[in-house]
Amino acid sequence: MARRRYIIAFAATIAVVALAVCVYLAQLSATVASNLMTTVDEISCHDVETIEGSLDDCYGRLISAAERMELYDVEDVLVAQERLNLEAASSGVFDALYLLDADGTLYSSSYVRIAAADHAYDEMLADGREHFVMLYDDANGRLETTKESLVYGVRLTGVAFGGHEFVAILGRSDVGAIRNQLLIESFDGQGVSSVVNSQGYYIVGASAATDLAGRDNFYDMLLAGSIEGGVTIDDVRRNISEGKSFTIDCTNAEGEHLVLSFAPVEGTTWSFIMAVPSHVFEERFAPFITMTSFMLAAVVVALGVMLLLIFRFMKRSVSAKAEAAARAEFLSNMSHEIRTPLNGIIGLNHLMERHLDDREAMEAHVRKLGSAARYLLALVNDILDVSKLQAGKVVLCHEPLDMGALIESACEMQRGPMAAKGVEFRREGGELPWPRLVGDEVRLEQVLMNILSNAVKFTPEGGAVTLGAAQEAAPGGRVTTVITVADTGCGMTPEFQRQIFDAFTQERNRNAESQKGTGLGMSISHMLVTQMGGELSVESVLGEGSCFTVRVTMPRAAAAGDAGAQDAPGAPAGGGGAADGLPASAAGDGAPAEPPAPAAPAAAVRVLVAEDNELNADIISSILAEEGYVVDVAADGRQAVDAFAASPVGSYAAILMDAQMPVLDGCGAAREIRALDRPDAAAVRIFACTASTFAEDRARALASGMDDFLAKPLDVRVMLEKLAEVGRSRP
Amino acid sequence: MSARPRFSARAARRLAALAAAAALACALLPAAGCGPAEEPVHLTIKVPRTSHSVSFDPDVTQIDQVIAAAAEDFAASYDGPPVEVEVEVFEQNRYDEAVVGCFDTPRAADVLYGDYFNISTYVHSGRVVSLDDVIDPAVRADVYDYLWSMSEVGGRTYLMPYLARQNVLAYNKELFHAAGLDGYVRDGVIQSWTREEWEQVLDALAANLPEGTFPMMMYAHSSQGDTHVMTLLRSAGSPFFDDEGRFALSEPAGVEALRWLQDGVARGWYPPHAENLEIEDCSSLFRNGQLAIYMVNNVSLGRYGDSIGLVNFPGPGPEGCATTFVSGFEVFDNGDARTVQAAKDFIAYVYGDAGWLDYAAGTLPASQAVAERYGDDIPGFDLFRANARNVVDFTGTNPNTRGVREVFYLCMADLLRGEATPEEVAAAIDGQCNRAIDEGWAASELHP
Repeated sequence: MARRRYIIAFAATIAVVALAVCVYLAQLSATVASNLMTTVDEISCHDVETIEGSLDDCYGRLISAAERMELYDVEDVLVAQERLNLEAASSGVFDALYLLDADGTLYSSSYVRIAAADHAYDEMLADGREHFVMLYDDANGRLETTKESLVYGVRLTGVAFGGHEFVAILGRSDVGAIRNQLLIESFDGQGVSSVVNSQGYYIVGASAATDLAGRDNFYDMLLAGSIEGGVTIDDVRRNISEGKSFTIDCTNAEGEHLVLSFAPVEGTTWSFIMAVPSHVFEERFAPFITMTSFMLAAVVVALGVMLLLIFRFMKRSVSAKAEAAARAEFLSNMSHEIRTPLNGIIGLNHLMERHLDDREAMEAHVRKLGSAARYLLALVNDILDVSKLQAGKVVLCHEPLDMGALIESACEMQRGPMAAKGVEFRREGGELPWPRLVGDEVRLEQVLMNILSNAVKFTPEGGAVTLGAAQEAAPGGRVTTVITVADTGCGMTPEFQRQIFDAFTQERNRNAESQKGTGLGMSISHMLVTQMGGELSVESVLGEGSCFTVRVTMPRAAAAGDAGAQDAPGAPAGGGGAADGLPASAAGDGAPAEPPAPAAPAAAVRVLVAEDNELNADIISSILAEEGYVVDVAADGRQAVDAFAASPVGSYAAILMDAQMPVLDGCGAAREIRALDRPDAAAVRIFACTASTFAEDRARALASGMDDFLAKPLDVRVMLEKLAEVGRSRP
Repeated sequence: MSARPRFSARAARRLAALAAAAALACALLPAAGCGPAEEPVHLTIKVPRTSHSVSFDPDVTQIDQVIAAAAEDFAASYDGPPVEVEVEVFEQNRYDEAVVGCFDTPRAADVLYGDYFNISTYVHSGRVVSLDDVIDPAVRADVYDYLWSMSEVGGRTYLMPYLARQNVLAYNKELFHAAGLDGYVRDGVIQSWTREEWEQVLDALAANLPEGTFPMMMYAHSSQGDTHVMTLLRSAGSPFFDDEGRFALSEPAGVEALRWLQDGVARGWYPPHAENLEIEDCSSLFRNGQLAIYMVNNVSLGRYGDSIGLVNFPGPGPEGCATTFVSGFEVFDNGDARTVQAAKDFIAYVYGDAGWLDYAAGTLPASQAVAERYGDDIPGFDLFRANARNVVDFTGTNPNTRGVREVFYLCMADLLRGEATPEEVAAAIDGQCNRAIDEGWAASELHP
């Protein structure tokens, strides 16, 4: 459910981001388009300024020419025209100059005299303006050219010579002369500028025409194509005549889509037009949009990854916090569990001191003391097992085993406790078809013992525990073994079923004071079965009982010659606790009664005990002495080496070597003893005695030259058996 | 920058005409039995914008109208591969852009119509093909001989004459009367005056014309109209060209003619500072009644009505001289044999159809048959036809007309300004113009 919520939240986030990206890109496109239009406008402004500058220059040249005319000694109009002729020839701009007489007659630099009735150029200044420029159109009066020309005019005030008063000076120049100055390309030559007058005739930008009949018209271009956005040619015409700045989208006759930007040229009826093909905009957009899209995609991906990482981090953090809380609670419970038997031990010790002379009371106290000590040991072993399993440090054996015998052995060990509690035990299923398998017999037995002891523990008197076993063939010559243990106990709530295999939540769910044990057994069992590649599951109904199912698949063992799997290498030599291979939980509850201690050696056997803890040394010495051994004690590794070196050859049969000692540790001492140059240096049996019980500790001890390993707390019976064996092997 | 704008009404019109021609051609294809998959031949015909008149069709005002109509008919009736014809009009001063500038592009001209003195230059580009193989003997016999001689280079015909305009001088009768030159005013003839008569007339005009009115045209500000000034240089008997078609003004008669023109400046024969004037200025003065003598041709004289009289250019003989502007066709080889053949077939089509030759009636038709049919309807036809004997060749089979024109007017400007003596100007003209001619021959390449 939570996962679904996370997915929905994540998808919603991505959708929002994607939507934001789309909106952003749309906005970006609009902004880029706006910027490009701004660029077009800026180019237009620049070009318009250039045109206006050129016009101002022409006006200035006309004024200068008029001023010079006044300086000449002009006797009559013909002389004035001669001067105009020379001015025009030297101007470099004008093909012809004209003086407008106050009576309306136009006098040209080519001596043509145009009567007032034959022209209308005087009307160009009738509105009071100081100057004008126009595309030559013979409608205003025919001048001495048929070429496309511009006519400039500047009002004159108080200019008189040759008996005439002149009110204006005009100049005519070929449009081609200024076309190249004003025609400006932009956008890598794809944007073309032009200038049209209010009638739509090109001043700049069209193909050159040498006569008036050849002029192109801008409105013809619009007519041949189409204008978008509902704009009409009349709208364009009106805007141009009103001197407005505006933009239109259109398609010309060739089908090319154009963006046209219009800007008025001040002091004229002209409009500057910047024509840019639409694809120029798209080409300009494309790299920017693509780059931005990639960047946004990268940001979105990075954001997604960050969200994922944050989610996982938060999840881990929450999990870690929960684990830390569970661990703290577990440690608290463990502390409680450890202190409880310790409290019993201390209390019993106190009672034993008080009743030293009361043998009967002492026996009871000693028995209880032993029980408390074994519980404590089982608890420690379980904790160690959990730690090792969680750390992945448990290495499973793969040795031949007899599954049928294993199951029967486990059942046998639980029959006593069940009988004592008044619980009926039922065994279902017949002989297993493939009992000979390869696996870790000890760990499997540990699992079964945990489940069975649990069933016994939670089944009230009069209840029943049923164990069933079956097998089925699996691919690859393997066999799946299914073992079910059902009880008629108190059962579990569904919530508890989900937590029953959790190592750190188990303890807090203990629900009955009477149910002794660490509660880690199920967790250990689950982890062991999982590591075996199998499955441990539970079905339970509160108040009716539970059913645990172990399903594990293992290879089949060789058909013959492998009997006695229990004695296979890797099996524990004795019951030294879980770290030594025995199921620890079993030690606390219903452990089988200890067999009698082995008989003492017939002849005195000398043993060197290297133990820095004085109490432990004293206990071991006392036990061994009571069994008839001769014991020497060394307080550290150095003393042990020295004692052995100083002893007569063959005097020590065995050395019990503590691993962690001051001056020189057990491993170092063992290596030095083995290195001594004396016949018994290699032969003397050295037993590692250490509370460091992990496999690597055992391996380190053996590597240093020691022969065997005795875990602390020492199992006295095992220790005596091993020493007895040493004694028997001596000549 | 001179980038052509990407939208053009003219281009749109051409496109529409092309589309119409193509549609028409496509429509006729099935009837002609041609498969629709056959690739059409695209024919580009280029024509300078030129005024034209036809005696029997007042709607025709431009020569491109005639050529476009002929092209449309040709495309519709051509029995060769489907053909798409595009008629492109260009401006008179854009010959090089329209022709040379389009070589090796899709816009290259396949057929060019124009004035010989402009288009004859391209014959030497090596791209203009000989038309001998499409000239029907009947056509050859029908065209005036003097036009054929102007159409041939190296004995092969590269140009097809369509019409001609004869240039003579015209005088303003009113101004002549005002100057007391009543005896020189004669109607219905193309006069010829001796040098003495010319001087008498010009001096009288200079002395008697009112202020702001001038005796005779003169200009040297650009190359426009330079052929008329060149013709004036025959006034003292100079043949202008030698036998090889090279300028020969350094001969005494040439120098004398230059001196005569230069003296005219001081004698008030021309508007002041004529070196700063163009032919259009003189045209305006003549139209405005401010110039007594100007040039006209058999077409343009119609705009002046009865106000003018005609006279040949002075010299080289007592009859004076006139010039003729011949206009016609040439075909370019742009690398596609089918297109070249279609272009030749178009020429053959025009000259094989009397109806299209008739559209030369309005000026001096190249076809004698047309002249016979419409001579009576063409203004001054008999006058100019009779004056043809006085026509002089102002091209001299020049292979580099443009190169010559670029330097000639500058030399004349120096003469009119008085900055060079007639001898110096004659030497400069001969040297610079003949250098241009030599360069033209050196670069000349005729189509194989």
